[in-house]
Amino acid sequence: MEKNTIVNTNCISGATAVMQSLVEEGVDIIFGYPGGAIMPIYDALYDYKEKIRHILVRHEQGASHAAEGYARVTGKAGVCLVTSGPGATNLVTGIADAMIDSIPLVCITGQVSSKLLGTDAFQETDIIGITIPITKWNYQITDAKEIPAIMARAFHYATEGRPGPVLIDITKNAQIEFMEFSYEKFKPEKIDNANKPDIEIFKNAGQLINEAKRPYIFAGHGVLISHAEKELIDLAEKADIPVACTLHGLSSFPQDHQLYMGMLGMHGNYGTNLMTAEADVIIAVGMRFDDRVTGDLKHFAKKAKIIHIEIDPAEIHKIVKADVPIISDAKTALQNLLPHIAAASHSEWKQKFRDCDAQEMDKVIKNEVFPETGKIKMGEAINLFAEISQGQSLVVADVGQHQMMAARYYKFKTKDSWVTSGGLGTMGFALPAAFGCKIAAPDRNVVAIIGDGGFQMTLQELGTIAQEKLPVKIMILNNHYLGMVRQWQELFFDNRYSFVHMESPDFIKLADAYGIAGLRVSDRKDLKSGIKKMLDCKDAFLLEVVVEKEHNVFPMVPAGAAVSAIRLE
Amino acid sequence: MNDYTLLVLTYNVPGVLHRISSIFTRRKVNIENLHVSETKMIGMSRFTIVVKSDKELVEKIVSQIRKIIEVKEVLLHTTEELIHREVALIKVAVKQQDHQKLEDKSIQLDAKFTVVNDNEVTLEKCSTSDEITKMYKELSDYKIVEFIRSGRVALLF
Repeated sequence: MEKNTIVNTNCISGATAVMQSLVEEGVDIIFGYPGGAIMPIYDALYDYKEKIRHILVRHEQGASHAAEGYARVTGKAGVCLVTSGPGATNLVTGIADAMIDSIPLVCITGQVSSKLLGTDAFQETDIIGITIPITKWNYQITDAKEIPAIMARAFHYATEGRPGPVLIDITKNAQIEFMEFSYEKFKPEKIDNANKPDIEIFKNAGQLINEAKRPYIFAGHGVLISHAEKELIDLAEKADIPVACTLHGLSSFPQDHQLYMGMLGMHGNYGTNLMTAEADVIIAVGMRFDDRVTGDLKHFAKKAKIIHIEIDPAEIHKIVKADVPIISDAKTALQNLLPHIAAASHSEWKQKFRDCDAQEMDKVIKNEVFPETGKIKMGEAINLFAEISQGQSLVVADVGQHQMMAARYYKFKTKDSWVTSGGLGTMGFALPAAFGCKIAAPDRNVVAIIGDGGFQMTLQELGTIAQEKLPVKIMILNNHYLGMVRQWQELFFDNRYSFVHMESPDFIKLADAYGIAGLRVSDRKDLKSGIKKMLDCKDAFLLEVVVEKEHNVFPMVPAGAAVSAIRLE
Repeated sequence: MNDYTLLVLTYNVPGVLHRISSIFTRRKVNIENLHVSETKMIGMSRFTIVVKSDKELVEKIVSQIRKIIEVKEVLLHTTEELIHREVALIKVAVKQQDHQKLEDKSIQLDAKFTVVNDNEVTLEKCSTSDEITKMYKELSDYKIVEFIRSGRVALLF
């Protein structure tokens, strides 16, 4: 008899039960890497090739970031499958990244047989203990019978409320044992209505907004997670309220809208940051007042009353005291708030933002995007890329100066077009995340913007891209430095460039070694054609743009300073 | 800085203690006293956690504990708002001829007196934290061999 065959109607191995549970949960893609402790599940997977596509990565960290990219675009939980010991520990960075950026993941790790637990067996680690602070929930399955119920819980917890990563550790014996399979989706005991906002709260919020002279909307990741883009536009338009996005909120509000003012934060726009000090009512939607956005809290939004629309009760009053906390998903909250909002007009207030824009254009943007001499600038490359792609690309950014430039200068025309590592700031995120995004959105042009440093952290995933024939576009902005750290050393550490200069391989030769087409551009005159070639290519393409070596991202709110201390140079 | 007691009702499964305690560790708040046991509801445990901290920080910690999937409920109280007890066991080195004197004192201290051997006795007291500390101070003339206090259990008024 074949291994893993169904013996009677429902009696199957634990490994097959895992596969069946994934199918029941609508999973059709897994990012993984096999190994000893997960072999029974890989054997079961072999019979599920038609139902579930498995992407073999080159490092388990790649699996976690790819699953993140996939989850960001689809809203479904990204699934990783890895072995015990080092396989599991290699997921840790990606899990921590997903936790802080609220991305749903279900990570399945193999584990040694339950009788070996705690004995320092081969490739045994206490991955449950290790991931407790960075998962929404985790569980170790030691008995095959537990599999269906635990898998159902895992998918529920990963995606409900504020999404996040869940880890399920399955001992080898549980994978091999047989069990009677039946599946039921998880139904929570009861819905917790303790926090549900009542009509009074929306009335109060409405009143604050209607009486405001300088209302301001902060749109964060929660708008995208909740699919509240339309409700946000309705609110902003009805009361003529300027809108700024956080890093993760980018593309939640159309950038060509007259109410869109730009990005908040350390490298956000000048006006958006300065005006936080002038606002009298701030409507914070699905954002958590991260320190990059607030700067020094002692000086943050001192004139404003704060309405905080947030699904996670633990975020209310965590950083900033909310005058009207609304514990709800963004879509429902905005739908309930709109009827209490009166039509209004705030021309003078909006003009203040425009005046700042003019200064920013003059002091920063003009030189960044339209330099006449010198090497290619990052902003210039991103701006040209935005024009040629007509703002339609799905941009996946790594971490560093190039990330801030991409956030600032790409003009997003559609929602769900921006994926990056924000809270954890994980270098090496973009390359694997990009192919995760490509699988989730095969019809979109997915372009990873990566620095020369970050690229080398996960470059082995070029192998995945090549083997799986994923037409991901990679734009490396190469300044031969760990740019963001170098910038800080220049501005705050007296130009003491401590270990930030990096010698890199020939990226084009490297891409070629993987069978991926590539092109290097160093001259301004070749930039447009290079970008076009990258975007038009039917297959994967690596474009290396050699940029100005020592150049800084401005505006900048110095670390620990008030956002009103934002510098233009 | 104040004394706060958190009463946490959870499902009785392994790993919950670790999740709860890591929320305190992250914020560098020391757990002064900890007790956990199953409640009269089968499968449910009650944690009694005592910390010294300021109100704002403790409230944030409570919010984060509530997020834990196995946690059903968290109540936060200052020590005065609860009925609470700890048990203390003290082993005292005392020669046989002085046992009676200590036994008389133990009645005064409302502690149970037990002879271990000719040279050692134990006192056992169940009371509030403050009363136990008071008793310990009253025995300063004696040689304390060992002193242990239990976790605090608490009920709402």
